Amino acid sequence: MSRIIGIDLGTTNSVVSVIEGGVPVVIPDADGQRLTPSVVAFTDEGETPIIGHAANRQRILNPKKTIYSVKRFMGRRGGEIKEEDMFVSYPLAGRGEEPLRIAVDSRVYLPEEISAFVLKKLKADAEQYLGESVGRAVITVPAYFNDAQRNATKKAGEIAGLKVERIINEPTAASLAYGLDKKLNARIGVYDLGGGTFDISILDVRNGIFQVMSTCGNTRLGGDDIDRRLIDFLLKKTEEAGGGDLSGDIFALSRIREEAEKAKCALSFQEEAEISIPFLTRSFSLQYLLTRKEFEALAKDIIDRTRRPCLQAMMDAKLMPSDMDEVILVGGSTRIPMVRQLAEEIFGKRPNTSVNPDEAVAVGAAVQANILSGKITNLLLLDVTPLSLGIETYGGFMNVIIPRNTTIPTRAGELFTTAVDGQQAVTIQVLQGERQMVADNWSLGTFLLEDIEPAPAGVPRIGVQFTIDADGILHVLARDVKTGREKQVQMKSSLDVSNEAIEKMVKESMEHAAEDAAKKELFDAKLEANKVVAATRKGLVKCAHLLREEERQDIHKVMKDIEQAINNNNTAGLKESTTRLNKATERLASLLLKETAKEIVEKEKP
Amino acid sequence: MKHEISDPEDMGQKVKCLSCGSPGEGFFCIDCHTILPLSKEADYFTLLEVEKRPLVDSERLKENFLKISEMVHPDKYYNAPQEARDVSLGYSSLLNKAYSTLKDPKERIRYLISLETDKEAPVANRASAETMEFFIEASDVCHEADVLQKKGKSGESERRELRDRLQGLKKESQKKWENGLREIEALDAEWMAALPENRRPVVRKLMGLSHELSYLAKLQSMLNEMIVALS
Repeated sequence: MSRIIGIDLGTTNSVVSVIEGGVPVVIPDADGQRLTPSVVAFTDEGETPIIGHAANRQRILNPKKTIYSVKRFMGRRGGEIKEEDMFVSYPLAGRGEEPLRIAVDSRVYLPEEISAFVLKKLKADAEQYLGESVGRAVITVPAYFNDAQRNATKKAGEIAGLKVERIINEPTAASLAYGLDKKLNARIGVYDLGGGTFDISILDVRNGIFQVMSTCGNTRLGGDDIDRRLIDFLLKKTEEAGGGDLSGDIFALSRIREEAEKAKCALSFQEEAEISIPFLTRSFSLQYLLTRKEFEALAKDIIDRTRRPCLQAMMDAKLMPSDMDEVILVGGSTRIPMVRQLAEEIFGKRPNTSVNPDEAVAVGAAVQANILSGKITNLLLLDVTPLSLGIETYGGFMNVIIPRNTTIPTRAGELFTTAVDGQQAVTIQVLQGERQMVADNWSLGTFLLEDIEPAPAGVPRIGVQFTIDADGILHVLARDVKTGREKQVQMKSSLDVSNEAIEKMVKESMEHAAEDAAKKELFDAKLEANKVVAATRKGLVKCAHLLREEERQDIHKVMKDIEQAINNNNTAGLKESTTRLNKATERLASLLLKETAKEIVEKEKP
Repeated sequence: MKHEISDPEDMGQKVKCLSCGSPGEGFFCIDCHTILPLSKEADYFTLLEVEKRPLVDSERLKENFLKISEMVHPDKYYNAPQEARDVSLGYSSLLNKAYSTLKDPKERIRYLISLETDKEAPVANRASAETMEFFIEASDVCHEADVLQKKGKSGESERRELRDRLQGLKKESQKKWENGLREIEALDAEWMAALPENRRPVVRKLMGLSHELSYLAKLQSMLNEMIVALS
């Protein structure tokens, strides 16, 4: 069986990792870069998009078609996104119940399709590095992702041609990476603040078993928000300095965004950062010295928003800060000194910054991959479902069936019946969230119990089994208690992408893959042919006079065939004629060998 | 054949090894070491290898849970045939359910009552007058906090004052909870002293206690929620 790779599909950056000879390795791309920006840039219509660093570099020049931070939109409906979250340089589509989409030229893409481009690149990088094809992966998601967001991530993997063997939570993955090489027996907190999401997970680690006790978070909170705050600040400064209102100028915004991000990063290591954007408009250049103090005043309330989830998680785990042995920081935003201070304040201890905040999650995914393939047997992860799962009941209330922080996998049963005499079908709405009212929670969709035998109201008994599997994904099974008939129930959601649509996407990506492979084959064939032709020419110079006339003619003919195949890009013909040339030059090769031997012998004669 | 092991109705089926067909007991087939479907006597106590009684040693319970998790978790059967994977998923789900039930004293007692009386113990319908009064008082404070919270901008001193009141109530409810736990200990002794057929009176007392604890648990989660919201 092929190898399973571990992928951290991040809001800002993505990382791919494998375990080699027991040691986790972060796979670099062809340029040696270990982080791949989760950025996809479309150039001309019909062209394959550019991904990663290259896409990031041309972001300013091509803001409307450079897609970034798409993770924020995974598994989301248009109506769920706040206006401030819509603040991206590319156009969004999808209102109300519709899934959010990204419009590029005449096409709209689902967020999972954009993510699939990033995954495809990581897959290719891994294949290049490992020298073998890769078809399976463990992909991480924020612990606080709901069912729809998890499903969207899984779909992204499928579209990229990866069998997603497991979806695991980012903070838990990081804990695996942290505990991999030590005998850990401790209660640890993992505080994970990335580009777009925040998670806190509390684990009890004993003898290689990583048991998550509770998790909490916010899937719309991260370094992106701080960037935005900083951009607004710089826009204001620009206006004050006479540069005018640039808030509608996408080109200027992109440049400000780039500088804001740089300044943010710099302020983690220095007290002030010089922001300099020459010719932001034709007549205005922005120059500003940002101090860490100013930066912290801007970011404070955003960073403060991580406090409540931490308190909630400790409450749910029935632990006090003093019960915790260690708090580990993960995610790029935990480099910000103010974030470290807050973590220290909440947990009453200096946080542990020993893991690589950018790479730990991917390494953890690779560890889990090896657990699944049986290569690591002394570690086990027991994770939880982050959100309560329930169904809608009378009066618009949510009735909880599986409470949050239940260890997964988990199963729960519920009996349903009819409300009207002779009723043959019942529709049930499935929800996730912590609020009492249906409207305040996520709707995962509805399912239909049908073919109920006509009977007076309240008599039929349909048992429904809800299973949350080890991926944290829900499956529903219904059973007529009287007949014992069982049926896998399909949940319907406005976010669903039909299987046909996915198949089409997979096919498209495979066709491209085939195209790419064909190109590579032709290239290799040309290389090989040129090598053989060059050797033949060299041989002919030396030994043509030793060949028979028909041999010489034969060789020339085959060389002509090769030339023609090269001009026609005919891979099969090229390979075939190269083989023929090898055959036709067998005698030439042996003559050449003899000649060379003779030369050597003669040279060495005294 | 489908193994819906989490469904109590299916627990009655004969246990047969999925892989070699020989009859088995416990977790694994002795002949071929494949995971076995769950046997019919499997209540949560049996499953977690602790004695069926009101009091359990939580440390031992956890140890057993982890030990058995290592044996039955789906990760360990990832490359096994589909049937074994299904069994592992069902087993693991049931184990998780069993552990979360037995580690929580309130849930453990409810479960024990349901085993003894052959029906679900009703969710709290009434508790002692004292507890009810306390519950109402605390609910009022929670409501007050909720109103303050929803108003948004409010004075820090007002918030702190309410938070302190909530903390005080939390402490009080914790004290009541601990009293409840002591009562479990007493009833556990009664339980152990009585012959199985003479446990009716203990079960009745446990029922009363279960209602108390249900109210207190609900209250505590309410208080916790408000404390976090006001922080």
